[in-house]
Amino acid sequence: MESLQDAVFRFAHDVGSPLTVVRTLAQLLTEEPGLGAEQRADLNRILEASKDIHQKLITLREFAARTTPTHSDE
Amino acid sequence: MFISEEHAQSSRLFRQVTGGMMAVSTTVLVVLLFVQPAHFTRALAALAAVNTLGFVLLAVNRRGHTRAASIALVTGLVALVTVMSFSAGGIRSPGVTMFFIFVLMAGLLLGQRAGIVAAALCAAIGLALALFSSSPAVASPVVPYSPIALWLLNTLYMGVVLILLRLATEAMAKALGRAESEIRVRQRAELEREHLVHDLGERVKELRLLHAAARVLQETRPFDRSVLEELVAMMPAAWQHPDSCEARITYQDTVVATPGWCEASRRLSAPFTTSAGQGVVEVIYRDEPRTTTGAFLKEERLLIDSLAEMLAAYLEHHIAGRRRSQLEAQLRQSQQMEALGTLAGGIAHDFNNLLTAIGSNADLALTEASVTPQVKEHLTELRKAHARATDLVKRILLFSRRQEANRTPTALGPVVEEAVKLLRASLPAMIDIQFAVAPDLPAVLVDGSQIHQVIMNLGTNAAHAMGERGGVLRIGLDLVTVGESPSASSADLGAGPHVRISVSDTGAGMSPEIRARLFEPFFTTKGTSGTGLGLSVAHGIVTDHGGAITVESAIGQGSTFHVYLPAVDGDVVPAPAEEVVLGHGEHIMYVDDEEAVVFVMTRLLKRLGYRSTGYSDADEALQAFRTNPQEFNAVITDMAMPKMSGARLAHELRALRPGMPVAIASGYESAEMEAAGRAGITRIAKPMSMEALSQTLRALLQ
Repeated sequence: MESLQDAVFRFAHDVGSPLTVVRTLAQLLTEEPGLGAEQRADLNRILEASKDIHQKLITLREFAARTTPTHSDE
Repeated sequence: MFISEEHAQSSRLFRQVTGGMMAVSTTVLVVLLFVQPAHFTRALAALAAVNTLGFVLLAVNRRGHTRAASIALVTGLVALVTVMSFSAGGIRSPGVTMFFIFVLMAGLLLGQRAGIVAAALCAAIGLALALFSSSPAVASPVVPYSPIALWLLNTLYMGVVLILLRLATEAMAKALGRAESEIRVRQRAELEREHLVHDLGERVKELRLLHAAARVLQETRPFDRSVLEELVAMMPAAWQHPDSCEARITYQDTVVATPGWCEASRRLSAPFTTSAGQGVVEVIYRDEPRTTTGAFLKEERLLIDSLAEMLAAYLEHHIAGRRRSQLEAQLRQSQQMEALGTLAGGIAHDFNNLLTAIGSNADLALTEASVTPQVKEHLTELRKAHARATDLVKRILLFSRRQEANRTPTALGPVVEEAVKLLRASLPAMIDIQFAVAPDLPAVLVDGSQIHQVIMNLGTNAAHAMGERGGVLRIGLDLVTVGESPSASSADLGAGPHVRISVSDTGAGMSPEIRARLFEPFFTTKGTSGTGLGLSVAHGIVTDHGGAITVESAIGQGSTFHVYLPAVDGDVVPAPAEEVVLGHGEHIMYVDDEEAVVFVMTRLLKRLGYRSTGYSDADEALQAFRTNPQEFNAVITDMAMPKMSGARLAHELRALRPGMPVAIASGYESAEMEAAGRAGITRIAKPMSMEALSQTLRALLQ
C-alpha cells in the first residue's frame, strides 16, 4: 500500500490539474474585450479562489513531505 | 546347567547304580546260597558286606557327598572282591572277573579319568593276584563252583552290566537332550538378535527421516513447493523396501510426488488438516514386498502420522504468520485511512468553500445576459474543470467515509441509466456500451449519487481494461435471490432478493494476483494516471450499503463485476430533477464564515429570484434573526464555522421560531451533521450547484 504521503501527492496532483484548467480559462476570459464589469469581477473571484486552492495544495504537499515518512508498498 | 542340578543328577545316578547293584547282588547271592551250599558262609558274608556298604553309602550320598560315596563304593567293591578272591583261588576266582564291572561303574559315576584309574587299579590287583597265585596266602577253592553257580555269577555280571549300560545310555540321552535344548535356545536368541538388529536399522532410518524433516520444516523457512519436494524426496529411504517405495504429498492445489509414483494397493496414507485446507501424505510400494508381516510396519504407520503432524504444524505456523502479516497490513492501512480521513476532513472545508466560490461565480457569469458565445464556451469548459476538481474532493471524502450519505428507497434503473449516459459521453467511441435492465425490479435503500459513483468507477475501470483497441462494455441490472444463484452465493451476503448490477468488459482480464489486490486502496495498474481509489471506493460504498462486490476474471477473457444490493419494500423516492427552480422573492438568510462564499451565494440567490441577506459571522446572523424572526423565509448556513457551528445556529434559530426551515451546507459527514439530520434539518452537499441550491430551497419552502 502507498504511504499517506504518496496519497497526498497524488491527490494534490489530481486536483491541481483541473484547477490549472480553471485558472487558465479564467485568465483567458479576463482578457476578452467584450466582457462586462460584473463578469470580469466574477472571473477575478474565480482566479482568486483557484489561486487559494493551489496555495493550499502546495501547503498540503509541504506538510505531508515534512511529517509523513514514506513506506514501501507491501 | 546349575551346580545343584548337576549334583542332583549325580546323586540320582549313584542311587540307581547302588540300588541296582544291591538288588542284583542280593538276588544272585540268595540263589547262590541254595544252589551252592558249600559257599554258604562266603555268600552270606558277601551279601552282608555288599548291602551294608550299599546302605551306608546311600546314607552318605543322601548327605550330599555323592562323589565320596561313589569312590567308596567302587573302592569297597574292589576290595571286597579282592579279599574274597584270596579264599577262592586268587586270580582263578570267578569273582575277579567282576573287576571290569567296577571299572564301568567308576567311569559312569566318577567320569572317564576315574574309570582309567579304576581300570589301572584292577589290573594291578589282578597282576598281583596272578603273581601270587602260587603263594600259600592264596587258598585254593575249597569247593569248586558248580556250573549253575558260575551261570548265576555270570548272570550277576550281565545284570549289573545291563544296569550300568542302561544308566549310561540314559545319562547320554539326557546330555544329548540338554545339548539340543541349549542349541534351540541359542538359535532363538540368534534369531531375536537378528530381528533386533533389523528393527534397530529400521528405527535408525525412521529417526533419520524425522530429523531431516525437522530440518526442512524449520519455522523460519517460508513455505513453497520446494519444501514439499524435499520432504517427498527423502521419504522412501525410511521405509523397509526403499527400492520399491514412492511418496506423494498433496496440499490444497499442490501435488508433489517422487518420479515413480503410481497408483498401488499397497498404500499408507496420513491425512492432515490446517485452518487453510486439507492435505495427505502417502507412501506406496510399486511391487509386492516379500514379507510375512504385511506391507508396512506399525512403526511406519506411526512415522507417516508423525510426518503429517509435523507438516501440519509447520503449515499452521506459516498460516498464522501470514494472517498476522495481513492483520498488521490491515492495521497500517486502517491507520493510514484514519490519517487520510482526518486530513480529508481538514482540507474539505476550505476546498469546498473555494470550489463553491469558483462554481457559483462561473454560474453567475454564465447567466449574465450579455455573455458572448465564445465566453460561454470558455465558461462551460471552466465549469467542467471545476466539476472534475469537485469530484476528486468528493472522492477523497468518500474514500475516507466522510461523505454525507442520503439513503432512500431508490429505483436503480434511472441511476444506472444516468451513469451509462455519462460513460457514453466520456469514454472513447471504440467502446460499445450495451445496457440492459430487467423489468419490475424492487427498490434498494441507497444513496443514488454514491451508487452512481460506483457504476462510474466500474465502467471507467472496464474501459481502461479494454485499452485503445476498445471492446464491449456491458452493464446490466437484474434481480437475484441469494442462495439460489451460485454466483451470488459466493458473496458474503444474507439470504434474500438482491438487485444485481453487472459490469463486464472484453478486456485483457486479470491474473489471480491482481484480483486479490483489486479492492486494496491505492492499488492501481494504471500507473500515474490512476489514483488507486476507484475500486476501493466502490467496494467501500457497496459494503456500507450492506451489499457485496464479486469479480470473475481470467487472463484474455475479460472481467465481470457483480454488485449486489439488498432489495427493500417501500415506495421509490423520485430523484430530484436537475433543473433550476426560481423563487418568488422569498427572503433567504445565508451564513458562512467565508466572505467570498457569502458574497457569491447571496448574488446567486438573487439570480434565482430570492431576496437574500448574507452573514459571515454566526453571532451577527443570530442577532439579526432574533430582532425579527418572521423576516426570513428560510436559512442556509455553513456547518463548520469558528464561533458557532451551523448545527448550533440551527438549534438557536428553531428555539426562536419553531419549525423554521433551515438547511446546513457541508462537504463532509460528521457526528454533528448526522445529529442535525436526525433533528429534521435539511442537509445540502457543498460545493453546491445552482440547480441543487434551487431544489433545496424549493423543498424547504414547500
